[in-house]
Amino acid sequence: MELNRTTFSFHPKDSRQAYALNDVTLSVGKGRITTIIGPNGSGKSTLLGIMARHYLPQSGGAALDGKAIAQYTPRELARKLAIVHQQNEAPADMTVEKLIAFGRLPHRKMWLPGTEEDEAAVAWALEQTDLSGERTKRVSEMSGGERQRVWIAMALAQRTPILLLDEPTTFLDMYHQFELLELIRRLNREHGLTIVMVLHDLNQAIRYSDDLLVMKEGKLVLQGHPQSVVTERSVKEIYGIDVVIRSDDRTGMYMVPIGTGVTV
Amino acid sequence: MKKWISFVCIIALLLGVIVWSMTTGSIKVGLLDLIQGLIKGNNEEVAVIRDLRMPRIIVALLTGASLAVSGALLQSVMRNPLADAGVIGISSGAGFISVLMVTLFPAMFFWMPMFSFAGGALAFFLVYSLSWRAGLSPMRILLVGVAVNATFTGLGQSFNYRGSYAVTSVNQAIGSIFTMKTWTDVQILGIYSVIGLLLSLLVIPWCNMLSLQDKTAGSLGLRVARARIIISIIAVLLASAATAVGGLIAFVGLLIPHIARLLIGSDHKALIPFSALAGALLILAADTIGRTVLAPTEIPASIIMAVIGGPFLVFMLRKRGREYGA
Repeated sequence: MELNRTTFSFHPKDSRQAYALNDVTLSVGKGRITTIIGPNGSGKSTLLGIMARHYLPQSGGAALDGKAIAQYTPRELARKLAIVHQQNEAPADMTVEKLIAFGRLPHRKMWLPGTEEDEAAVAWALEQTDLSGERTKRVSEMSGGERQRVWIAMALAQRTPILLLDEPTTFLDMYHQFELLELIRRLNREHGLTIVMVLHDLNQAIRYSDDLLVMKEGKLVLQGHPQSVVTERSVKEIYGIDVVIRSDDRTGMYMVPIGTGVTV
Repeated sequence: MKKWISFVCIIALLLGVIVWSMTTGSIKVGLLDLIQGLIKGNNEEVAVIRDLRMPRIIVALLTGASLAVSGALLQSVMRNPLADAGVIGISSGAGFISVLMVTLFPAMFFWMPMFSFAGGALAFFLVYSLSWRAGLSPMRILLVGVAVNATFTGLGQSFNYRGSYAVTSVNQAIGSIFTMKTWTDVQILGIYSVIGLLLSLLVIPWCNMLSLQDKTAGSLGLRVARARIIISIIAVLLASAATAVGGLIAFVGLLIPHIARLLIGSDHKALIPFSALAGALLILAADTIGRTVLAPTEIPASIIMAVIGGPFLVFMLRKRGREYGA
């Protein structure tokens, strides 16, 4: 997927409002994990929303397989790209199995019963997310970590080559955060899914990404491998915080924040 | 499994109430006499029932089914459990415009459902556009809807105080007594509500997708705005047809889908057919009770319905509501 000089504002008629996305050009590597990072309000989720066509940019735009995504029909796009939102809602009596089956809708004729292919895709999604034993459980009765896996499973059932995730770890405890990131990495390494996600935690971004896109004030300020992008200087510039960056045989590169540099 | 039982029960109940309603009232006949009379056509009492009571029963059934399904559709489109044609002004808009037109052009009585639909659509458009502010907030829809409803209700009621020749037809349009329904009414309502009910079955998958969230439905390939508009039109059609012939009955569209959800879950595949059956049952039962309990005085179906329905919903919510987060 590529973005070409893309500019987007939530208030296009109001010139005093800053652009949510300002002249962003980038390309996402096929079969890689790309993570968008940056401070709050920097345009991370907006960027992801442009890629998912939730927002239509005022100029420029995203292209997928050489075709502008604005040209795809919604169903075509839903067969190419799936997205897991940060917050999701489902009726309280929705079961795991039924919810995941929604992921098949882009492939199905509305009124025909599901095919074997549909069933196989749901079974595959259940297996990947380790939910095969919970098929008939209600989503509303599950823990946050399980629930997030159910929504990922729904996106997986779409069998798209690209998976977008908006802050998938935000509401989870540490164990479930890592469980989820490992799942994402496995999907990428074993099944070749192209992953684009937004993360808040810089260390997780360093550890689990092939490429980073660093946003600040609506602009893409840095992009590249984590090792080349994340430096003590760049973090100070982007987040305004002093950090120490070290490397260790067991952890690889990691970052420890020291403080804002303001003396108390 | 449980759904099956609920469906069997409601169909059995509905048939039971239909038989009860046919055989009871100012003229009482046995079921066998009734069937014989209908086939042979030689029984005068049965002929009266056929001409006066049967259209009334069918109108009650169709009105109930239409209003309940309309409520279920609106709740899905507006993502608001309180959406109902009566609450957000569609019924009163439909009622007002048809009263207005019938007063101005009494000869155009047959076109009542069309005027009614125009009024319902107008009210819905007002609610939708006035509460739109970079997206729909369930709260704003409701507040704007209540305001629109109040306006149209007031306008409709103002006709009651003109004391002109129009009063009878006005009362028919804004009251909800099913007396004096004829086979013509059945025909008028039948066409519109059967079409509406069939269309509502076609949009079931969309309703289910909308029960996730707009952005999720969109990323699953649904054209959300278009689906919304089409579902809304069907809901307005159903509610206005019901209002045109059955009069203003609030609360069915609110009550029935909630009871249905508690009994058979939120999947629209079951919810919409079940709502239709339960709505028909409720209105027919209310109308039959209304005309028998204090005979010869008739109590409007809407009153009976509110009196039975309100406590029943509270009972269901207390008993089962926790499971559904209602």
